[in-house]
Amino acid sequence: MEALVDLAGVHLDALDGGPAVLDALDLALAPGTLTGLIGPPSSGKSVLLKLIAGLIRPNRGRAIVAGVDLLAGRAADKRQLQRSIGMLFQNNALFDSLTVFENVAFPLRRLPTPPTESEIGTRCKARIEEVGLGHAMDRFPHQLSGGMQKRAGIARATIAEPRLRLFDEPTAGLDPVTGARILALITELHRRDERGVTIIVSNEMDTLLAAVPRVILIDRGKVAWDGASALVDQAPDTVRGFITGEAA
Amino acid sequence: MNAVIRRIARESRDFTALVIQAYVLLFRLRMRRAVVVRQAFELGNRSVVFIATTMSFIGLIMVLQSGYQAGRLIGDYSLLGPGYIQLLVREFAPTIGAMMLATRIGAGIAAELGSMTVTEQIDALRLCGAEPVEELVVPRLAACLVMVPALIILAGLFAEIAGMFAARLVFNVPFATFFELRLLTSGDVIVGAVKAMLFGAVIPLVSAFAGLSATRGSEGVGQATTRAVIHTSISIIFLDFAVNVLLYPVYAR
Amino acid sequence: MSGIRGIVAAVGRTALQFAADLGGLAILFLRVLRTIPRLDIYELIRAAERFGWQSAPIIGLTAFFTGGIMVMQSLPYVEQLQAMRLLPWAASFATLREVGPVLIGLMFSGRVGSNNTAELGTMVVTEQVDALRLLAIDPYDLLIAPRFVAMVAMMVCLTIVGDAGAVIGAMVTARAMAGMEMFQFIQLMREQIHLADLASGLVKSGFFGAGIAVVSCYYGLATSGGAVGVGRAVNASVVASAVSIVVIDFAVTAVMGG
Repeated sequence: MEALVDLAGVHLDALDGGPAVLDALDLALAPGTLTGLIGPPSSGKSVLLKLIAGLIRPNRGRAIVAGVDLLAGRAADKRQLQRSIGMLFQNNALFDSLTVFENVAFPLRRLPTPPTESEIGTRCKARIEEVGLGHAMDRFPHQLSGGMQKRAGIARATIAEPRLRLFDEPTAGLDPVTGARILALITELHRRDERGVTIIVSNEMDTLLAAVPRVILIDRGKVAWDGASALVDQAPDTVRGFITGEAA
Repeated sequence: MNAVIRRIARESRDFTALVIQAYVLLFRLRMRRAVVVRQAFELGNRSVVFIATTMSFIGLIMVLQSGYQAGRLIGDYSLLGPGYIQLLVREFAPTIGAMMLATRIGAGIAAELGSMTVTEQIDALRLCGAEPVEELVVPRLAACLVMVPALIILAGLFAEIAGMFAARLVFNVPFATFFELRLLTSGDVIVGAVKAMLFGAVIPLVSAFAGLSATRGSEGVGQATTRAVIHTSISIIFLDFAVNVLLYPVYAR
Repeated sequence: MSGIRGIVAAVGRTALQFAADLGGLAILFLRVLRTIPRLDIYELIRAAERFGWQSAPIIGLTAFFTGGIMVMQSLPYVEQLQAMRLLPWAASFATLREVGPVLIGLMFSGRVGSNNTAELGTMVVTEQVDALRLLAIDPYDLLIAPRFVAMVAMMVCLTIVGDAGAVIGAMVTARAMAGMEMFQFIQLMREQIHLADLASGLVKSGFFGAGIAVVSCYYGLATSGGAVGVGRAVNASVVASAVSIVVIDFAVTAVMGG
């Protein structure tokens, strides 16, 4: 089956002339993949996510997402592609002048053929209830706690049933119970769409490895390890050291 | 030096692209009317008191200065009113009014869009199927094209009224002379109108560009606001100079 | 009915905020005056250098075009009265006394004032100012007073630079649009423009510098709320500076009698 995300030799220069942010990176994700993305700080995880989402253009290499060429493709095709990508940003990036409901409804209203207002209402309310924010639908982002903002961000990122779901640190700063609930929600949404791809960036090893079948380690802009979470013990020492927290 | 030139070239290219994109969308009337109206309302709301205050003082100052000189040199105040009106319409209301609005409106637009940029809301917009220029820039452009000339007219009115009172109270010049339009030509009005419309476009475009290019970090938004005010102000002065030179035959009899 | 109450409440809030800001500005100004004897000379020199270099190109450019604009505005009158001799005076007089200082002040506030607010605001938000206090260093000695003096001094210097730029711009424009030779322009200017004209403009600039310093420092120190808060502070600072320039200009003009 053709990979949904196909990166080969992807290179991204640093803006300040330092070492490359992404260095000849290869990655292939087939439809149905649920994977974690881990790595030391500044290894390029968030940048990689944004690149896959078409928000950052690579300098060199091949980057094809859902058949669209990210390096040489037309802007219109890229915009079309972005409609089938949903992303939760590190700081949620909710629109602060809109309520939770309006934030979640936003992607639906911008579809080429938007659903009717009542359909939008039904779908949004359902998803908002599902993330546990039914009581806060008419509040503004600054009135919500960190965990609530994350959940609102997830609702907005997934409301248009995107094929490609990207989550940048979905459990950072949350208590373990809420964090577990969010991971469960993410994996449930993935389960409902067998042909989609879900990528979760996280630094919380235990919870992440328990939730995803596959994990990719990025270090200094390259893929350092790519394998099943269950087989993490068999990773090379340096890699395992990062994952399990033991000294290398 | 090389790096600076390359950066300026890159920024100029990006800015030109933004302007073209914004105008293409504008002419296709691709915008939500409600958003434009709300923007226009906010712009007006925010700026009326500011313009009223600053332009009134400017009016007082200009009339005081002209009056002192007129009294010292020719001892005749009869041209004070008509001359003042002419200069106001042709030059000072559009230019100084726009400089003031560049500060008020421009800083506001840059701060708003800059905040959105550093909190990744612009990226989020793209992934929600919206196009940032269409969503954020074009409504502000449309609103400014209407509101800035309106506010400039208001600015002129406040400067005129304040000047009128200053002339009466300090130099005993009758109010009536400030209603004499005999020096004012249609050329003056045309020049003033052209300037007002140009400035109405420059302010939102330059400020939005500054906001959208804000960099991360605590200083990012502040620096974007600074860039917006400075670049807009320089553009206004330069365009004013250019219009004065190019349209000279229009307003010089 | 609630609409009217809403408006009254909004006006009241604005008035209270205005009064609070005015009070805050006055307090800051007095503290600065008291601190000036103790200020950090090294910081003063650094600040002066930075402020001067930061805005010199912008101000030179602005002044050049301003000079040209004033010539363009005076030309119709001078041509009609067939008094070309008066062109240099007509163009330069208002520039040196009024238009120059005001536009330079606006540019200075837009460049140096807002940078200052952003810097101080960032320091407040990243708790550097608190750290200074804990080290028993008075922020006013180290930060505020030197910037105040530097801004006043630099405004005056930059106005001199700006005046020169404006004269050059006026000369070039007069040559291009009216065919007046440059040496003739200078000659007529020297006859008709007095030191008093230049001096009164410089005095105004000094006061503008003080106003911009007080306003930009006030809003910088009052920042709260991260990067977005710094943006808001810069916004408020720039707007308040513009108002203060205009008000101070009026006061000085009225007192000096033109």
